[in-house]
Amino acid sequence: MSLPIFRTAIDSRTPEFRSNYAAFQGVLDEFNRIMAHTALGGSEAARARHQERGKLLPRDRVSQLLDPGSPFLELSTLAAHDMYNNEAPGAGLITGIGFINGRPCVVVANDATVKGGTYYPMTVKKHLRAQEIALANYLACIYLVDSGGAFLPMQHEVFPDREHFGRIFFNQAKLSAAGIPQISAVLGACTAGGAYVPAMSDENVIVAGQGHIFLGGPPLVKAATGEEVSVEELGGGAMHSRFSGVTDHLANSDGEALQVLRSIVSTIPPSDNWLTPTKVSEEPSYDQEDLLGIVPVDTRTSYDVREVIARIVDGSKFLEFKSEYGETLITCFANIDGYPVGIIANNGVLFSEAALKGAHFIEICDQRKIPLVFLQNISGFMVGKEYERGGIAKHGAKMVSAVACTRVPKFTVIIGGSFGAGNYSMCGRAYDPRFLWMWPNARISVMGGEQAASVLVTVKTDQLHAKGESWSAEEITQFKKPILDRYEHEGSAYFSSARLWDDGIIDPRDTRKVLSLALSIAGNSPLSDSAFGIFRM
Amino acid sequence: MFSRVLIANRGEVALRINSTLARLGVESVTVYTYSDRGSAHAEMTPLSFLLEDGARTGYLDGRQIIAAALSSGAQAIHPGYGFLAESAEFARGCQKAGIVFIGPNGASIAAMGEKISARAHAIAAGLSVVPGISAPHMSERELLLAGIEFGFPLLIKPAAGGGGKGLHIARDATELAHLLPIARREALSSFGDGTLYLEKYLRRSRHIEFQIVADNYGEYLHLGERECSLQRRHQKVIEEAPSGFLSVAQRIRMGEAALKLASSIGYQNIGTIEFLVDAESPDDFYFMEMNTRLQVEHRVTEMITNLDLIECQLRIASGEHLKDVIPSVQFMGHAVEARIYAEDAYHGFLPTEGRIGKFESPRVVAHTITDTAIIEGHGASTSFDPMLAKVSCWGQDRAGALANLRRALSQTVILGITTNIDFLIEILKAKDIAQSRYDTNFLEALTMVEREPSLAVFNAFAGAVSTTCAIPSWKNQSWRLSGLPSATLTGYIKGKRFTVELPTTLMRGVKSFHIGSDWWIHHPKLGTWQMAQVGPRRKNADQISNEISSPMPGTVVTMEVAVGDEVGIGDALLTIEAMKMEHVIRAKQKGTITACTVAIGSKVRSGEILMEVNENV
Repeated sequence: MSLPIFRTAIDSRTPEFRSNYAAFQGVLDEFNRIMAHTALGGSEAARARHQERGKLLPRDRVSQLLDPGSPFLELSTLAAHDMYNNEAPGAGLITGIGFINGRPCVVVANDATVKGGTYYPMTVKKHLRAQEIALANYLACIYLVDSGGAFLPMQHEVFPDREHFGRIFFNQAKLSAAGIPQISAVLGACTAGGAYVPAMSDENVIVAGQGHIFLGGPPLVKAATGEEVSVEELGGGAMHSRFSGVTDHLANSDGEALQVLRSIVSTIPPSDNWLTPTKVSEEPSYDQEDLLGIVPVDTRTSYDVREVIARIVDGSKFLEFKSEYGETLITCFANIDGYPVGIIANNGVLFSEAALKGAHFIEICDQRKIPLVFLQNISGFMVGKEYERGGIAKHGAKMVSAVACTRVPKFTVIIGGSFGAGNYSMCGRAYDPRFLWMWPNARISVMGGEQAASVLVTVKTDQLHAKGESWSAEEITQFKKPILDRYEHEGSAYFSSARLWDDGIIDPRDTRKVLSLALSIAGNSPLSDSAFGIFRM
Repeated sequence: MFSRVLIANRGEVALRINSTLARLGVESVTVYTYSDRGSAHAEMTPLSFLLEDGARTGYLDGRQIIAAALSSGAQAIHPGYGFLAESAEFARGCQKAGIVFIGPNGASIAAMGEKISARAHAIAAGLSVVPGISAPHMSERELLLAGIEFGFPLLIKPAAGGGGKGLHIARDATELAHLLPIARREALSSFGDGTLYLEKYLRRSRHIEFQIVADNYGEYLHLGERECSLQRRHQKVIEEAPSGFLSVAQRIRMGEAALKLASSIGYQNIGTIEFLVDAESPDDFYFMEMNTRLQVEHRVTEMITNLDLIECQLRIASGEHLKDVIPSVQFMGHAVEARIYAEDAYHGFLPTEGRIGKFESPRVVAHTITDTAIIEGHGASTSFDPMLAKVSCWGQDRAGALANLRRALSQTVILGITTNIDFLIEILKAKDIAQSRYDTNFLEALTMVEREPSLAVFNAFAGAVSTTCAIPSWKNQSWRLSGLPSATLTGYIKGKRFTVELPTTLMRGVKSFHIGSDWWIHHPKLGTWQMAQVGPRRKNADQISNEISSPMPGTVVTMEVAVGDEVGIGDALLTIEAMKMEHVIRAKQKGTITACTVAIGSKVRSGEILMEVNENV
């Protein structure tokens, strides 16, 4: 039996649709401008210098490494955006998932045109996140190494802590131990810590005359022991391939090294994937382009999230679960590119019933091994005496608990606001979704700016009252402005993406594609057994 | 009729014989060698015997094959063509073991298999032979002197030869002196007998052969002729029946001559008598040789007579009378066959190697038969025959048959190895072929211009490479997060670099295969193309490479120079044998041999570095 087709109520001729559409176009123009700028990497001079040395630009390396025509699901593209005086576009690192010889791999490529590919704090975080994704989805890791190691001026934020530089190599060892191949190409300098990426790899290739590996470079060697030695003698490809055995394959150019990597990947046996399409893929019946006119740019304006679901799922078909109950949360079964999914989407503030419905639905999907897709647009749980009496805290906790404990892959897309405990129950970053993406209009913070300012005004008013003082309306506005400004800035998708609170910002029209790509790899890692039956909430 | 027959062969002919045996309800037994385990012919029967390879392949070891036949309970052996098909010793061995050899008796094979004796028999039967020098056991020196006296050009032929192997044309005394030892070596290695003879080389002749059928009781008939003039390196490429060249009167005269010769030696079973016909004076025809076996091109005769020649062979061998086997012969329409070789038709027909990653035979062309033993994913071995498949088509008339063949070839997909399919399609369009105006030199005299890839070819590659993902959701044509540069494809076709944007709409009907960075595509309108994603190693264009590399896979059979020797441009350095043909590798610059990585007997791969020549040592 096929799922029912959703009947849209959207009319693209209405002024409301048109104004939403125009406003969203503006948001996307800005998004595309930032993405294009980031994709360039370092300065024009740095890029020219890089190419003069006969090296390929990192994005070209990635393209040549992947199967021609393979999509590349880039991760954390806007890492370090608007940070570090904007010195580090993309944090000097390109990470993502693409196909090599027909199998999906995580690619981690240093961008030497950005401060010599050195690691800023966000670079480390981005590198670790890519490894985390590799572990969660059992994907081989391919490192295209061209990095001078830690960015020394910020060494205290890069070197010592648990989730700092050393964790990269810890992860390589642990991933390899889990049977996830670690493969690298040395395409430039690999000094000190950087030397460990190839050294910790299962198999590697080095470009003769271009790639170098040493724990201490010639200047350091001279300072330490007085020995004078050339770069090639100390850590050249020929030396490491013929004498030290630090490298396994010797290539003559970037292009050749990338082909060697492709050959190495071809020797990895295919992995089992338990998650396969259950239906023939079908495009949605309604145009995904409509999303721009459906979704108001202002996250406070409400709309029917079913219209969004209908533009993401196969044939715009989905079967709602408990449609008459807890109506501010939509739960439904659908397919994306043939893959079965359970979708949980906000259609207003969360009440106890909605939380119970959500918890129940998650349990069902877990039992049926159906991946979960969360479409977040949540201002939070309902507050008030009546609701607290009704135990909204414990009901909310049930949904949070279900989200935390389910074994099926989870994917979160923040399509509007993400505020407060709503973020937790809707599988925010802390709940380990396999991937978390944001639309460029999305906002994320502990509460809305207006609410935060009001709370702080109330607190301050109470303090003033206690001292027998008061303040004027103008003073209150003055007091609120910096708070509002700050929430405005820190709540933006760009602020989030720069700090890796998500895996990237996506065009709403790419949501279906991105989810489909993620679903196709999610079944590589095995599923554990579940111990409980379903609790009717 | 026999109840069990052993097929002493491999490849497509083994499959062909098996199909007739199966149709007649006769059990078949096969043999295979170690290198052929898993191949189609070894897998097709419940009972298959492994032959040990000795100094020569097990397929040439009659003793092992007869032993296999005896232990399997087979009453007869079908030798196919090649290997032991024309071994009188094997035929006699079968007889001695009480097994029927499906073919003529040993005496006929001996009489006709040895070409010098065959010429003598033909002369005795009153046939004209190509003028020449043929006496048993002539030394190279005797042949050279006799050749000079006779005049040039001359064709050097191995007395024990067949199938066009080991033939050489000598235009003058120097060439003759140079070629005689080469021809002798080839003859020895291919046929185990180094005896040579010389024939006047007829520049403009046509190769026309007659299919003979004879029973064990002295009844003879012929099934018309086959025209096999389209050849390269003396090996047939396209064959047809009937010939578009012979008049009715000529057909009668030649057929009678063929039957006369066959009956004069008491021939039995089927055989083919090959004639050379002067292209300028068609009344002059010369006996060339007789093949005492089934021919590769038997399909075209079958198609125009509606007979199964293998069935005829079996029934005659089991003692039936010719009049029962073939009560009457009726010729219908026209048939033409093309042989698909693993070779580079645009570069001197050099053999190619590779792995067939995709194979599809034509599906929608009527009256078409594809004979092949190709298994997808198997390497094309260079150790036996370079023929991968043959495609035979029938038509109401000659034009119809040729059109069917062109269409069938354009639908034949072989990816992973360079073949002559596109060359075949190209030449079948030639006006001279349509009008049957050609001779045995036609193919080699052609100046074929290699095709340049069109925009459609680039697009087909781009489309093919962007849809290779097994997982449907990743078939998104190079999708990237918005704002990032779109993807292009860079590749090399015939050494030329190109870059095209990956398309969003794909060309339909493109078949593709890739192995590593090598891509192959096929489209009925575009033909077959190969693209490399990694370019040829950059080399300074002004500098001639010091390295001497092998142009093909094969075995080193002679070393003319050693390290330290001085060589000049064009000097012979060494000889490589591939597909029973010798190829002399010559110096491209003068200098001293500074390194050598091979010796006589070394197996070399295509492109392997053999020697280094340096000018200033």
